Amino acid sequence: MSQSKKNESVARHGWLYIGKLAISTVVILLCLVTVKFYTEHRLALKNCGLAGVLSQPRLDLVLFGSSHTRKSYDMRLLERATGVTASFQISYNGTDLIATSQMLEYLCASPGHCPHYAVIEAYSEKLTRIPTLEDPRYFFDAPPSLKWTIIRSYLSGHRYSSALLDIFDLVVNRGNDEIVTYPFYSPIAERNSYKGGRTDFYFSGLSPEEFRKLKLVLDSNVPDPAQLSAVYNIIEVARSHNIEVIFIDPPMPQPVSSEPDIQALKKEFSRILSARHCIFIDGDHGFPIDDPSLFEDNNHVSSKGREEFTRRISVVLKDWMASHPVVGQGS
Amino acid sequence: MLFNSLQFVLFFIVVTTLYYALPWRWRWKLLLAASCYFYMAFIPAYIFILFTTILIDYVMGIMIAQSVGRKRFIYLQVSIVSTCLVLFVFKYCAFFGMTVRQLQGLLGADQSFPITHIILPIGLSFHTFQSLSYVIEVYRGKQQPERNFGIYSLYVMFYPQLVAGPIERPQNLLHQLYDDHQFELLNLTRGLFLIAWGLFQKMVIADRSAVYVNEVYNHWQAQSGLALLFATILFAVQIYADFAGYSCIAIGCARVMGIQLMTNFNHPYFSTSFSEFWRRWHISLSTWFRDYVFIPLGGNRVSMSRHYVNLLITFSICGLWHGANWTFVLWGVYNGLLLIFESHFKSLGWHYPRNVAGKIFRRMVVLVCICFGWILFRAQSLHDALAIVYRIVTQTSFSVWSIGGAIAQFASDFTSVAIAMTTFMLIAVMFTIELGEEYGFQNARELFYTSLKYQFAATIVLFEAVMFFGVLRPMAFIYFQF
Repeated sequence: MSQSKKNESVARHGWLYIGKLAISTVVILLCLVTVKFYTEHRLALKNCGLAGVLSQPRLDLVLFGSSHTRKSYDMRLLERATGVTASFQISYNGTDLIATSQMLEYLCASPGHCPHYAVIEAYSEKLTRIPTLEDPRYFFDAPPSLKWTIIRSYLSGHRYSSALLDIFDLVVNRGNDEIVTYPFYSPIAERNSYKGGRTDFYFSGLSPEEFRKLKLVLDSNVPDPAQLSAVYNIIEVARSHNIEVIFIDPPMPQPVSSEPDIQALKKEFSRILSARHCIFIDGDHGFPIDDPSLFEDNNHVSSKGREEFTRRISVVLKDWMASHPVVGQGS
Repeated sequence: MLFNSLQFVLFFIVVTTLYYALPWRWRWKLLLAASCYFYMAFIPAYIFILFTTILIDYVMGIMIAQSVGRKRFIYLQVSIVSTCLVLFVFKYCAFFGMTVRQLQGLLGADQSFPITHIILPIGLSFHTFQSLSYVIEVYRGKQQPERNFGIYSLYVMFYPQLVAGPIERPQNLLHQLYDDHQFELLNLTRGLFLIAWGLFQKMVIADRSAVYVNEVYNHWQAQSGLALLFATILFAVQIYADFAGYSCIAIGCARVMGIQLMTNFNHPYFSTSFSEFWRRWHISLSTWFRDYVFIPLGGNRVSMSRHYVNLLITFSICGLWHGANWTFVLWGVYNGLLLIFESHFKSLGWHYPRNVAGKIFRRMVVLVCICFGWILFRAQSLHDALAIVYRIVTQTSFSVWSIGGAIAQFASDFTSVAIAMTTFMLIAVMFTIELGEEYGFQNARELFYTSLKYQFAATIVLFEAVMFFGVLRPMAFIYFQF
């Protein structure tokens, strides 16, 4: 064989090697990702998040929200004060109104998981937020059909090329630590949750000086159309499934709450909801928002603030549930 | 253009394909063009500065070879001064200005010395040293001057090692740029395996560790002693995996093209002495300092006190090379002192017993001392470094609450437990593999490196590990800042 033919043959072997390597890597990746996509939700924690709410035998009251909800409501205290024991909280970091709408729709479509009462976090800043998926645990916990909903929603709201990379990251890369360490990780994590709320962390309050310096910078003060659409959808879904829904904006510290943009957003949110005959509760009202010890940072309450807020809001919720009995809805 | 980016993957595929498609006489031109493109992906205008230094050293190299006597020395000085001047202006000007201002403050004078901040050209410290090694070797008569300006330019800016080494010697690299590298399957498989291993070290080990290290070190005032201790250990892992990973990728990229770069890391954390550590860590840099600073100063063939001074000078400069901050200089001095300590106490039996228990003990001592040195490397200031050391020494508690609080820094929720466990597991996997390489049977190693099947399987496993466990958002390599 001549030298050039020999070189060609060797080069061909090289391309074959690269081809086999690439194809094998992609095929193995696809197989593992497919298995992961359709089964990882079975490894979700059973006493918080979506998996937790789906494992409840009965659901009277469900709270939907983000870290604001998780840090604002003490579930044990709420149960004792309202007398509602079939309650649960779904609170992933950064959960916006779009994700809330998706979760509510999914629960209503799942037999036996439609709640009687739904408390929707109406944190005013969320109205202006560009749709995104901040907490990958939401995707991890979601059953496959909800996962497809999340992917479709994400792709429709973002630039296609960067959205594909984000989806790749989400589907392939996230949640693997929890899968690999499941036998060790889940007992520890589940021990520190109750009905979706965390029980282990203590969040201290602020000093007066830290409190005075609090600010919240908004990216925009114009409601995002997708978030607005999600609000209308939540109301529509609730009405069509006979769910009584209430929107509650958790309390914010006074230096932040008094900012004109925040006040304007609260008013706008309230106007939108009252136009659709929905109840909006501003958590600031009646809450000592000028007490630094009740706040952890510029938009979360401290552990002491959580206890205080839960005690107050429980009264409101109890009265609301009593005045809005749910009739003729199977759950 | 980071190695761990899609842009680089495409660049590498295109360049390598064209490399083998072209006649071998054209290949160096392709590599030079590719290296220029690679360099200009950072700040395009800086290529003029690079070419200016390349031109000066190219001309001086020829002049040195053609001259005799004192003129050779003068040309050498011109080359060294001009090259180091560029390094000084871009890297040390602001540091110099700040130091002068601090001195003015101490003396009670007006702190008005001007400080100029200039963006550092990428890879400046590395290609500066590579250029210097060329002119010095020509001066010493150990290397013929390169007459082809293009080849010499390629020697300085060969893209796999342009940005963060290995700092090559002309005797190793220059002749390879002329060679007709036939395509060899074993080069391809080995090169791809090295790239995969480098990406695993960088994206899985280093970048995961970086998440924790950055969170703790950037807010060290609010951290417990235990969290700072974890962060220090993880930084030791991060800096090793980051830099060794980069070197691996660089060596792998070159290997695919049939070009052999020097090994830059040889499992340094398995060292049983400080001198051994510096023979295994950043080998291209430590040998550079040995050959061009330490030995010209007299090395260890002088009196004991002079030997120690030589060590301190060498390591101080080494520290300063790493960064324009007194913390780096002190890190260098600290490592110099460790070597002095070791040299001084060798006679007291530091290297004994030579059994397994003795080696494990010495290895632990070396690891602990090196880790503490990394605090100086990572901290933003001397004050921060000392405060961190103080906190580690006085406020470290191993209670359940303390461990929980330290682990919580991995994430803002209870997934921090899962992330911590997985990260430590992956680090254990990396060091187990390295342990196998260090102590594994010679036959097994040779079998692996000559077997296409095993390398094929290992490469796939590594790429999958990167996809599933790596930090996929590109994070810059630590040594890019040098």
